[in-house]
Amino acid sequence: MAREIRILIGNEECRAELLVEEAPRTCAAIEEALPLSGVLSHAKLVDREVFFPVPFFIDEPENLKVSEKGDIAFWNGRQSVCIFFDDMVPLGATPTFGRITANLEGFQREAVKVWEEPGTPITFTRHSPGQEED
Amino acid sequence: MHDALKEIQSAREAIWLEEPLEVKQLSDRKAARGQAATTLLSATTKLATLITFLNHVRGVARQGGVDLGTMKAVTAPYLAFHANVLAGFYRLAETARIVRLAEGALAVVDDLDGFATLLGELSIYLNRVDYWIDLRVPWAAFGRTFEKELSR
Repeated sequence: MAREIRILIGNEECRAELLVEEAPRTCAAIEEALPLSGVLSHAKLVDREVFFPVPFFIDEPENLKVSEKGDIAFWNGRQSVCIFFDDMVPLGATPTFGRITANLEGFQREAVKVWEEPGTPITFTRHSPGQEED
Repeated sequence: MHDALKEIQSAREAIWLEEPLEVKQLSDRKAARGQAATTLLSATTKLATLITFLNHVRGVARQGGVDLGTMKAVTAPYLAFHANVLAGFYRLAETARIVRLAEGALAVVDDLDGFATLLGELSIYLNRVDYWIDLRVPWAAFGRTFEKELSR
Protein backbone atom coordinates (compact mmCIF):
# COMPACT_ATOMS: atom_id res chain seq x y z
CA MET A 1 0.00 0.00 0.00
CA ALA A 2 1.30 3.46 -0.88
CA ARG A 3 2.52 5.55 2.02
CA GLU A 4 1.04 9.01 1.94
CA ILE A 5 1.38 12.39 3.57
CA ARG A 6 -1.20 15.13 3.94
CA ILE A 7 -0.20 18.59 2.81
CA LEU A 8 -1.87 21.70 4.12
CA ILE A 9 -1.00 24.74 2.04
CA GLY A 10 -2.85 27.95 2.75
CA ASN A 11 -6.52 27.00 2.59
CA GLU A 12 -6.03 23.81 0.62
CA GLU A 13 -5.50 20.22 1.68
CA CYS A 14 -3.72 17.81 -0.63
CA ARG A 15 -2.18 14.36 -0.47
CA ALA A 16 1.12 13.06 -1.74
CA GLU A 17 2.52 9.61 -2.21
CA LEU A 18 5.93 8.87 -0.74
CA LEU A 19 8.15 7.11 -3.28
CA VAL A 20 9.43 4.56 -0.81
CA GLU A 21 10.66 2.14 -3.49
CA GLU A 22 12.70 4.74 -5.33
CA ALA A 23 13.90 6.80 -2.36
CA PRO A 24 13.65 4.69 0.81
CA ARG A 25 16.16 6.56 2.97
CA THR A 26 14.84 9.98 2.01
CA CYS A 27 11.24 8.92 2.67
CA ALA A 28 12.26 7.47 6.03
CA ALA A 29 13.98 10.71 7.01
CA ILE A 30 10.97 12.76 5.97
CA GLU A 31 8.52 10.48 7.79
CA GLU A 32 10.62 10.59 10.92
CA ALA A 33 10.55 14.38 10.85
CA LEU A 34 6.76 14.66 10.47
CA PRO A 35 4.96 16.89 11.13
CA LEU A 36 6.98 19.37 9.09
CA SER A 37 5.90 23.00 9.04
CA GLY A 38 7.27 25.99 7.23
CA VAL A 39 6.54 29.02 5.13
CA LEU A 40 6.91 28.95 1.39
CA SER A 41 9.25 30.90 -0.83
CA HIS A 42 9.17 30.79 -4.60
CA ALA A 43 12.21 29.53 -6.50
CA LYS A 44 14.08 32.32 -8.25
CA LEU A 45 15.33 30.47 -11.33
CA VAL A 46 12.85 27.65 -11.88
CA ASP A 47 9.29 28.72 -12.58
CA ARG A 48 6.40 26.98 -10.79
CA GLU A 49 8.52 25.73 -7.90
CA VAL A 50 7.99 26.55 -4.24
CA PHE A 51 10.11 25.42 -1.32
CA PHE A 52 10.53 25.57 2.43
CA PRO A 53 13.55 24.85 4.62
CA VAL A 54 13.76 21.94 7.05
CA PRO A 55 16.23 21.51 9.93
CA PHE A 56 18.20 18.50 8.69
CA PHE A 57 20.40 17.17 5.92
CA ILE A 58 19.74 14.08 3.81
CA ASP A 59 23.21 13.56 2.47
CA GLU A 60 23.00 10.64 0.07
CA PRO A 61 20.77 11.64 -2.85
CA GLU A 62 18.30 9.07 -4.16
CA ASN A 63 16.02 8.89 -7.18
CA LEU A 64 17.64 11.69 -9.14
CA LYS A 65 15.21 12.59 -11.87
CA VAL A 66 14.17 15.50 -14.01
CA SER A 67 11.31 17.04 -12.08
CA GLU A 68 7.76 16.98 -13.37
CA LYS A 69 4.55 18.64 -12.30
CA GLY A 70 3.57 17.35 -8.87
CA ASP A 71 7.01 16.08 -7.86
CA ILE A 72 8.39 16.70 -4.37
CA ALA A 73 12.16 16.76 -3.97
CA PHE A 74 14.80 17.40 -1.33
CA TRP A 75 17.56 19.94 -1.97
CA ASN A 76 20.33 19.05 0.45
CA GLY A 77 22.45 22.08 -0.42
CA ARG A 78 19.92 24.33 1.28
CA GLN A 79 18.07 21.73 3.36
CA SER A 80 14.82 22.43 1.58
CA VAL A 81 11.74 20.55 0.43
CA CYS A 82 10.90 21.64 -3.12
CA ILE A 83 7.51 21.19 -4.76
CA PHE A 84 7.19 21.49 -8.53
CA PHE A 85 3.57 22.48 -8.89
CA ASP A 86 3.17 22.89 -12.63
CA ASP A 87 5.01 22.47 -15.91
CA MET A 88 8.45 24.08 -15.77
CA VAL A 89 12.00 23.71 -16.98
CA PRO A 90 14.03 22.32 -14.06
CA LEU A 91 17.71 23.10 -13.51
CA GLY A 92 18.59 19.42 -13.58
CA ALA A 93 17.92 16.09 -11.94
CA THR A 94 16.65 16.41 -8.38
CA PRO A 95 16.42 13.83 -5.56
CA THR A 96 12.69 13.12 -5.73
CA PHE A 97 10.85 11.46 -2.85
CA GLY A 98 7.18 12.22 -3.39
CA ARG A 99 4.43 13.08 -5.81
CA ILE A 100 1.21 14.99 -5.22
CA THR A 101 -1.63 12.58 -5.94
CA ALA A 102 -4.73 14.39 -4.69
CA ASN A 103 -5.80 18.00 -5.17
CA LEU A 104 -2.82 19.17 -7.20
CA GLU A 105 -5.18 21.85 -8.51
CA GLY A 106 -5.69 23.15 -4.98
CA PHE A 107 -1.96 23.15 -4.38
CA GLN A 108 -1.51 25.12 -7.59
CA ARG A 109 -4.12 27.68 -6.55
CA GLU A 110 -2.13 28.47 -3.42
CA ALA A 111 1.38 28.02 -4.80
CA VAL A 112 0.89 30.28 -7.79
CA LYS A 113 0.33 33.18 -5.36
CA VAL A 114 3.67 32.67 -3.60
CA TRP A 115 5.69 34.64 -6.15
CA GLU A 116 3.71 37.80 -5.41
CA GLU A 117 2.97 37.00 -1.78
CA PRO A 118 5.59 34.72 -0.25
CA GLY A 119 5.19 33.25 3.21
CA THR A 120 2.24 30.92 2.69
CA PRO A 121 2.22 28.37 5.55
CA ILE A 122 2.64 24.72 4.65
CA THR A 123 2.50 21.58 6.78
CA PHE A 124 3.28 17.96 5.98
CA THR A 125 1.67 15.38 8.25
CA ARG A 126 1.29 11.63 8.20
CA HIS A 127 -1.73 10.32 6.32
CA SER A 128 -2.99 7.04 7.66
CA PRO A 129 -4.79 4.56 5.38
CA GLY A 130 -8.52 5.17 5.49
CA GLN A 131 -8.08 8.59 7.03
CA GLU A 132 -10.71 10.95 5.66
CA GLU A 133 -10.10 14.52 4.66
CA ASP A 134 -11.20 17.04 7.26
CA MET B 1 31.43 21.57 21.90
CA HIS B 2 28.24 19.96 23.12
CA ASP B 3 27.09 23.19 24.78
CA ALA B 4 27.71 25.16 21.60
CA LEU B 5 25.71 22.66 19.55
CA LYS B 6 22.80 22.89 21.96
CA GLU B 7 22.92 26.68 21.87
CA ILE B 8 22.93 26.77 18.07
CA GLN B 9 20.00 24.34 17.99
CA SER B 10 18.09 26.45 20.53
CA ALA B 11 18.76 29.58 18.51
CA ARG B 12 17.48 27.82 15.41
CA GLU B 13 14.32 26.58 17.13
CA ALA B 14 13.61 30.11 18.37
CA ILE B 15 13.53 31.49 14.83
CA TRP B 16 12.16 28.49 12.93
CA LEU B 17 8.58 29.70 12.73
CA GLU B 18 9.06 33.26 13.96
CA GLU B 19 10.95 35.85 12.00
CA PRO B 20 13.87 37.28 13.98
CA LEU B 21 13.51 40.93 14.97
CA GLU B 22 16.89 41.75 13.49
CA VAL B 23 15.67 40.50 10.11
CA LYS B 24 12.51 42.61 10.37
CA GLN B 25 14.74 45.59 11.09
CA LEU B 26 16.93 45.01 8.04
CA SER B 27 14.45 46.99 5.96
CA ASP B 28 15.29 50.02 8.14
CA ARG B 29 19.00 49.79 7.32
CA LYS B 30 19.03 52.27 4.50
CA ALA B 31 21.83 51.92 2.01
CA ALA B 32 22.79 53.96 -1.04
CA ARG B 33 20.24 56.62 -2.04
CA GLY B 34 18.17 56.00 1.06
CA GLN B 35 16.79 52.62 0.05
CA ALA B 36 17.09 49.23 1.74
CA ALA B 37 16.52 46.90 -1.19
CA THR B 38 20.25 46.53 -1.69
CA THR B 39 20.67 45.96 2.04
CA LEU B 40 18.42 42.91 1.79
CA LEU B 41 19.93 41.65 -1.45
CA SER B 42 23.45 42.07 -0.15
CA ALA B 43 22.65 40.41 3.18
CA THR B 44 21.15 37.36 1.52
CA THR B 45 24.12 37.14 -0.84
CA LYS B 46 26.56 37.26 2.09
CA LEU B 47 24.67 34.53 3.94
CA ALA B 48 24.29 32.34 0.87
CA THR B 49 28.03 32.57 0.24
CA LEU B 50 28.79 31.55 3.81
CA ILE B 51 26.27 28.69 3.71
CA THR B 52 27.72 27.37 0.45
CA PHE B 53 31.20 27.39 1.99
CA LEU B 54 29.98 25.61 5.13
CA ASN B 55 28.22 22.93 3.12
CA HIS B 56 31.30 22.30 1.00
CA VAL B 57 33.73 22.01 3.89
CA ARG B 58 31.22 19.88 5.78
CA GLY B 59 31.05 17.58 2.75
CA VAL B 60 34.84 17.35 2.54
CA ALA B 61 35.04 16.52 6.24
CA ARG B 62 32.39 13.82 5.89
CA GLN B 63 34.37 12.16 3.11
CA GLY B 64 37.34 11.92 5.48
CA GLY B 65 41.02 11.65 4.65
CA VAL B 66 41.72 15.31 5.29
CA ASP B 67 43.67 17.03 7.99
CA LEU B 68 41.46 18.39 10.77
CA GLY B 69 43.93 21.11 11.71
CA THR B 70 43.99 22.48 8.19
CA MET B 71 40.19 22.37 7.95
CA LYS B 72 39.92 24.35 11.19
CA ALA B 73 42.62 26.79 10.10
CA VAL B 74 40.73 27.53 6.89
CA THR B 75 37.29 27.70 8.47
CA ALA B 76 37.83 29.71 11.67
CA PRO B 77 38.99 32.97 10.06
CA TYR B 78 36.29 32.65 7.44
CA LEU B 79 33.68 32.48 10.20
CA ALA B 80 35.28 35.38 12.03
CA PHE B 81 35.26 37.48 8.87
CA HIS B 82 31.58 36.81 8.22
CA ALA B 83 30.60 37.38 11.84
CA ASN B 84 32.11 40.85 11.61
CA VAL B 85 30.35 41.54 8.31
CA LEU B 86 26.97 40.42 9.64
CA ALA B 87 27.35 42.40 12.86
CA GLY B 88 28.56 45.46 10.99
CA PHE B 89 26.36 47.29 8.52
CA TYR B 90 23.57 44.72 8.65
CA ARG B 91 23.36 44.73 12.45
CA LEU B 92 22.48 41.04 12.50
CA ALA B 93 23.84 40.81 16.03
CA GLU B 94 22.29 37.48 17.03
CA THR B 95 23.28 35.82 13.77
CA ALA B 96 26.82 37.10 14.21
CA ARG B 97 26.85 35.83 17.80
CA ILE B 98 25.96 32.34 16.66
CA VAL B 99 28.66 32.41 13.97
CA ARG B 100 31.20 33.50 16.60
CA LEU B 101 29.96 30.78 18.94
CA ALA B 102 30.64 28.20 16.25
CA GLU B 103 34.02 29.72 15.55
CA GLY B 104 34.91 29.40 19.22
CA ALA B 105 33.65 25.82 19.38
CA LEU B 106 35.89 24.86 16.46
CA ALA B 107 38.86 25.15 18.80
CA VAL B 108 37.69 22.16 20.84
CA VAL B 109 36.56 19.99 17.93
CA ASP B 110 38.78 16.92 17.96
CA ASP B 111 37.69 14.89 14.96
CA LEU B 112 36.21 15.31 11.50
CA ASP B 113 32.80 14.01 12.55
CA GLY B 114 32.57 16.70 15.19
CA PHE B 115 33.73 19.28 12.67
CA ALA B 116 31.02 18.22 10.20
CA THR B 117 28.35 18.18 12.91
CA LEU B 118 29.21 21.68 14.13
CA LEU B 119 29.29 23.19 10.66
CA GLY B 120 26.08 21.37 9.74
CA GLU B 121 24.22 22.86 12.69
CA LEU B 122 25.56 26.31 11.88
CA SER B 123 24.57 25.92 8.24
CA ILE B 124 20.99 24.92 9.12
CA TYR B 125 20.68 27.93 11.43
CA LEU B 126 22.07 30.35 8.84
CA ASN B 127 19.90 28.82 6.15
CA ARG B 128 16.82 29.69 8.19
CA VAL B 129 18.00 33.25 8.76
CA ASP B 130 18.70 33.61 5.06
CA TYR B 131 15.26 32.39 4.07
CA TRP B 132 13.66 34.87 6.44
CA ILE B 133 15.57 37.60 4.60
CA ASP B 134 14.51 36.06 1.30
CA LEU B 135 10.88 36.49 2.35
CA ARG B 136 11.52 40.21 2.88
CA VAL B 137 12.87 40.75 -0.64
CA PRO B 138 10.07 41.91 -2.99
CA TRP B 139 11.18 39.58 -5.77
CA ALA B 140 8.06 40.01 -7.89
CA ALA B 141 8.22 43.80 -7.82
CA PHE B 142 11.95 43.67 -8.37
CA GLY B 143 11.49 41.49 -11.45
CA ARG B 144 8.76 43.71 -12.89
CA THR B 145 10.81 46.87 -12.37
CA PHE B 146 13.88 45.30 -13.91
CA GLU B 147 11.99 44.20 -17.01
CA LYS B 148 10.37 47.62 -17.31
CA GLU B 149 13.76 49.32 -17.12
CA LEU B 150 15.18 46.95 -19.72
CA SER B 151 12.43 47.79 -22.18
CA ARG B 152 12.92 51.57 -21.95
